[in-house]
Amino acid sequence: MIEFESVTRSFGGTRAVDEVTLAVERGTICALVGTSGSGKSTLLRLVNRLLDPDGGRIRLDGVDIAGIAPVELRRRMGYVIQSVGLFPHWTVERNVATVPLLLGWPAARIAARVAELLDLVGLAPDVHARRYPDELSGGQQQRVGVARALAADPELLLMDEPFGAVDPPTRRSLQDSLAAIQKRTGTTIIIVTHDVEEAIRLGGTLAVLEHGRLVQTGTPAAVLAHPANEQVARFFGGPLLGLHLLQALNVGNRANFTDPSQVGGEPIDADASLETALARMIAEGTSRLPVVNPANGRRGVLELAELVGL
Amino acid sequence: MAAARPGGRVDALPLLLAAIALAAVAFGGFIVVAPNRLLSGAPLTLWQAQGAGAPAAVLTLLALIATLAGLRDFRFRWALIGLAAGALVIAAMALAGLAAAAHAEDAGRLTRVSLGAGFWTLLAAGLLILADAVGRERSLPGKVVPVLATGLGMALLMAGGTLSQLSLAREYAVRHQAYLHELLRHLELTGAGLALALLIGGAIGLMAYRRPRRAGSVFAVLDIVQTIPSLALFALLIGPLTALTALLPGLRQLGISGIGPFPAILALGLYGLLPVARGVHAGLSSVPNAVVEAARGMGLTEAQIVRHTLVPLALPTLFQTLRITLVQLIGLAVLAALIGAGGLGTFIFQGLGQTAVDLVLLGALSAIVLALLADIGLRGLAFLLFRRPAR
Repeated sequence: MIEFESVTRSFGGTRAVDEVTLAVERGTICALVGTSGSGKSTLLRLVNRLLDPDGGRIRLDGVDIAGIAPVELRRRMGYVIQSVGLFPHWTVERNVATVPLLLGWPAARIAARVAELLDLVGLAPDVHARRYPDELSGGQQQRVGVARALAADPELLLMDEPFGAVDPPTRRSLQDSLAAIQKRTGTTIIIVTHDVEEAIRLGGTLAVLEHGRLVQTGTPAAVLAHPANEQVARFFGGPLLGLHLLQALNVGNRANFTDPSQVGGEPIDADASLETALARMIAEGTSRLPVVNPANGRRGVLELAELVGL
Repeated sequence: MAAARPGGRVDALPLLLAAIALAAVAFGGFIVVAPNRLLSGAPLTLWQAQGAGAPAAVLTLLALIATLAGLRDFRFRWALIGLAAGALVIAAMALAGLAAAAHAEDAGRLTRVSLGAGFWTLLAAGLLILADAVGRERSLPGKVVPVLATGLGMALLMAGGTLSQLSLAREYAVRHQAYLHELLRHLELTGAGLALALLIGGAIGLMAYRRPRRAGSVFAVLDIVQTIPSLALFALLIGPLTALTALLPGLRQLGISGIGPFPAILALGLYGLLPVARGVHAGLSSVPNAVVEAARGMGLTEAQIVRHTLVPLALPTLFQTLRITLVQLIGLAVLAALIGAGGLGTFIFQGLGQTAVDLVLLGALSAIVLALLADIGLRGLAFLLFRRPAR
């Protein structure tokens, strides 16, 4: 668990991070969002002490990180940046093994871990391990970047706009991979992004920053339903905010499982987003969809009127 | 040019150089026969000096080069052109040596046979064709073999005594003891100056990289040092250093004085500062920021960042800096003789004083060959070190 307590950091008189107090629970994903210059990257870099705060405290599982040597602290955290920063003169294998090598793991354990991680991020070890970074696509490079950050099984993964430089389909596939990995490993993730959809897809919690101040925290659905102010509403799409809300909500939130009347057709998962449901209604020219809850097999109906919250 | 089909076009450079060589052999004075080492002599063309056989041999080699250059590309074509060019160079040297021997025998002991404009043109054309061919040849053995063969041929000619009657060789023969001494001295001066430049220039380059805001003013100062004419820098150091030793006589015991090796090494070191500092700065700056940031974020210590990212990624540039600086300092060290520090410049300035051109050449050619060897050697080493591993 990470706790920020009145954390402040200034650069030449301007407060990039201003009295931020925030707690990120163990095993959750927290998305730091905001426009450029809102201080979200600065806040992230305070966590692994690439920067130190001018005021306030950051605690990792109750321990003030100011008392932990930066090098030791960083080796307990994974760090992924937009430009990836793979070592161009090392193979994929060696890149992923960077931190385990620094920690002095035995060779056999490192080899096994590298293969496991490449598998985890969706790269075939026998195909990609011996390649050099410039022989990979941008998306593959970022997969290696994620594998490298996870190598020593960090308690915390810090990601600074990790998928900002790849094309949209690749970005979505990387986001799905990351969500799946997080579910499997239970790693706590703090991700900086200015991509609203990415924040909604990944963020269990959103922390919205504005001029260095934390203006709102909450689940994507809560933040989108009740934006704290005009700027937050504008950031999440302004007039299109409602569409983003459909991404943040599940079919299960709006479906009626007590209505005995049955609707024909392929049922939609209760876990699917309302956006997906709306897309299907449009495609099929209907205002009602059959719903199934994959967890307990219960069936229900989603009405267009319910979907839009009437 | 980039779009030309391989082998689909005539390569003009070897043809042009061969034509120049042809004109030089036909009309240029190949050797110059003088009654003694100080008088100027009469030039003789290769034809006049050696009869018809010699020009025929040279023409055959030139025709071979021209034919190979005109053919469609095939494997080792450039290696063959390089070998033919090497043969041309060796033939020119051997013919000059033979002609010198023949004419020295005819006349008295004092007669001097020097090399004429025709010889130098032929030699230069041959070496340029060789360099061009080596640059274009794709295979490694195709690059190395012509250079080694030419070097070996030259060494054999020199060791076998074929060249011994040339004025240049006789200038060497009467002072080979001194020559060895000055050659060693030249290497010592260059080495010490280079070490000084690497140490201080390296530190400046590193500082400029760490503090980008100061880099501009640091390089401005170094640029000014570089604009001082080299001759003046050597002379300028005499005054302050003499004054310094007058003030602190103890320094003289340490070998520090206004003239001699100390100011020469200092001047060479100063000249090397800018290229070294710039090279180190450029090399380090060429390492992507993202790599350094990622390394730091993963918990590499500053020393590990230097060892694992900065140094390996900057190494090719650093190596190139070393090569350029070394070659530059070998040439500049010639001037050290002016302030009594010795080195190959000694022969150049002696020769100038005596108007003995061949003595000047002995010093100058030695410095050129030294610089060339350093350049080729370090290039070869860099090639071996920085080739991407096969995959």
